[in-house]
Amino acid sequence: MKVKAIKIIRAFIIDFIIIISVIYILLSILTTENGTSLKEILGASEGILIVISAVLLAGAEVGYRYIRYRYNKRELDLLSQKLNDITEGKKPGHILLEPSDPLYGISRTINRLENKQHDFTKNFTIQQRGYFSLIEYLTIGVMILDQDRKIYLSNHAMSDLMGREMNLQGQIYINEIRTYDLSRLIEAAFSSQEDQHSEIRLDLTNKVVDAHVVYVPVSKHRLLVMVLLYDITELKEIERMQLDFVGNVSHELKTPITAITGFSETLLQGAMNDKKALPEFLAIIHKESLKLTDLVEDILSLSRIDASPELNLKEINLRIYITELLKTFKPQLEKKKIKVFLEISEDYVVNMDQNKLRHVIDNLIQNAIKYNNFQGKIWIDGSVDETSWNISIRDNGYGIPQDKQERIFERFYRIDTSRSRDSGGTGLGLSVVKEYVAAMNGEIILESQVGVGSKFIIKFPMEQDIQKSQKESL
Amino acid sequence: MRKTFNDELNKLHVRFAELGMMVNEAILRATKAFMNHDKILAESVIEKDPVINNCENDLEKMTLELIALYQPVTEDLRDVITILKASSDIERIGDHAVSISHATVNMKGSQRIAEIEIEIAKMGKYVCQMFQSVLDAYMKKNEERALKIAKDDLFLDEELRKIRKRCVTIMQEDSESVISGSYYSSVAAYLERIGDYVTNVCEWIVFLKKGEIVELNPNTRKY
Repeated sequence: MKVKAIKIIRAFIIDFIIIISVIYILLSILTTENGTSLKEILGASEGILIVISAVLLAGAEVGYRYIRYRYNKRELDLLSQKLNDITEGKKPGHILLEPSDPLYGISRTINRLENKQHDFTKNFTIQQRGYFSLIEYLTIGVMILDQDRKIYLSNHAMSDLMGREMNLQGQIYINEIRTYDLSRLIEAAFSSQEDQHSEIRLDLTNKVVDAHVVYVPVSKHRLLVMVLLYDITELKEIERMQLDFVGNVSHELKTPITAITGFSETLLQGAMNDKKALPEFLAIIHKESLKLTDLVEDILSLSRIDASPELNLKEINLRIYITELLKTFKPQLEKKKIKVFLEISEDYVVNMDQNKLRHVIDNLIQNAIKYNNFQGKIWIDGSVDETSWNISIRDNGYGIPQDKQERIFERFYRIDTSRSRDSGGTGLGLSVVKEYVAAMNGEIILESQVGVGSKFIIKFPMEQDIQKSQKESL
Repeated sequence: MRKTFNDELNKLHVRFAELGMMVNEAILRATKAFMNHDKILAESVIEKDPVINNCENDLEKMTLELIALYQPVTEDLRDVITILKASSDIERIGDHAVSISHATVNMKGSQRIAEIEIEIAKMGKYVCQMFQSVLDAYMKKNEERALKIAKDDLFLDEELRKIRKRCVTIMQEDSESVISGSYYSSVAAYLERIGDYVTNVCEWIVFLKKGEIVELNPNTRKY
């Protein structure tokens, strides 16, 4: 305020001096032309008049300048306010000035700048949203770390792979990761400043991932480390399945064929004259060829299911049906002294394809006997609710390790590759079961622990017939 | 000075977290191997144990160096001391995982008792979860959670008592099951011990937060 007042007074004094001197110069020019001296014209009263008029003129001039200044100041304030708003990301209105206004040019430039900036922000938001949702929905696990080893970003797939919430911005990654190999890899990237790559098994989720850790220098003191996890569990599985399949098939085919060729060769070389060996060897050959037949039968039924999924529905009383089935297993049950507990109520009637269901239950009971201990037990149970019905077959036999539980439905897969338990069978039973259950719109659930036993539950929807007829009408 | 100390402390923290991860993996694998009778997995746990021991040695060296060179006080000192103490507890947990794995390897072929296997599987899962939550609580310095985890340990004590009793009855009835029965009770005891060490770590979390040395679950360790 004080400065402002001083400024005004100074301007006023300067104005006053200029006006006085201009009048003085004008007068002196006039007087020299007329030949009179200045002192003659100027009396005391004229002197005062000149000073007063000079004061008034100077006052008017300063006043005018002040008003102009105020006006310009207001416009400038408006413009700077607008620029401030733009930098703060607000959306101020346009400033419209008269074309004659000296600030007209700059006001237009600022308006244009605002438009441009607005477009930029819009594009930026769209790009950023796209980028973030892209990362969020990527099937590859992504985590980005900053130079302080803090999590900057982490996506959904990452949390899924790690089996715990990882999207914790600002947390130090080491506090959240639970896999030693992965944290080693990340630390190696930080210390060597180079990209790292390795295959890692994640214990919590039982997944195998192809892990890339990428080192991205941003500026002198800033950097990013990106952790990319690509789930290759399935790939690994398929790779192994293919290898196993070839191995298993050739093994299954080769064992009976070797026996048949071996024994027939011995017979041809003269053993057929031996009355004792002849029937014995022939019996073996017959048994092995039956095994081959079984195998071919199973392979055929597998391909048949794929080809014809039609269901021949009939009403079945499950208790009677299973009792009937169990009769065929009597010799096997007696041999191993296994007890069967049939816990299905007598009025349990369902609609199902008899042949397909027989195949399924047959196979499951067979396994329950085959992979059971001497004097073991088998429980067969069933229950119905509004939407589905199920049968469960439980044994207290060998049991299946956790990580093999998914694999036993693969074709030719065997848990005990050494075959020391000599259980026979083709190795196709459960895969046939799975295909049949799927053909009947059902699902199969397995609960098992090694040394405790296994429980297979087959579950079918109640509305089998309606679904089918709908499919046919389509 | 402060910056270099912080850097060193961070390094220590990373190494400690790694120890936690390794031991976590060790008990996960050891219990899984025991449940699935998986000799190969059990052997892999035994093989990896020296790495865990090395890590603990590293941590000891690093903490001692840190104390000698920077002479930390108050919260910093608590940080360093807790890592020194907790790391030895965690390393002991790793040793127990190895003992369980040894039991898995040695048990191969002996007669199994189904009902005990179920109980031990339950106990194993419980211990794994407990250890994971104690790591979380440590990293986040969450004292309330630590107190809660310490309470969970009582379940393990109870479970051990139950398994011991059941094993003894079964062994009395059937002499065939003596070998497996004794293994079962020792594995259950290992798991229970792990629970105790987890409680110790909980005590250190409380110390870290409050600076008080407390005894959680006193008078429960009766054998």
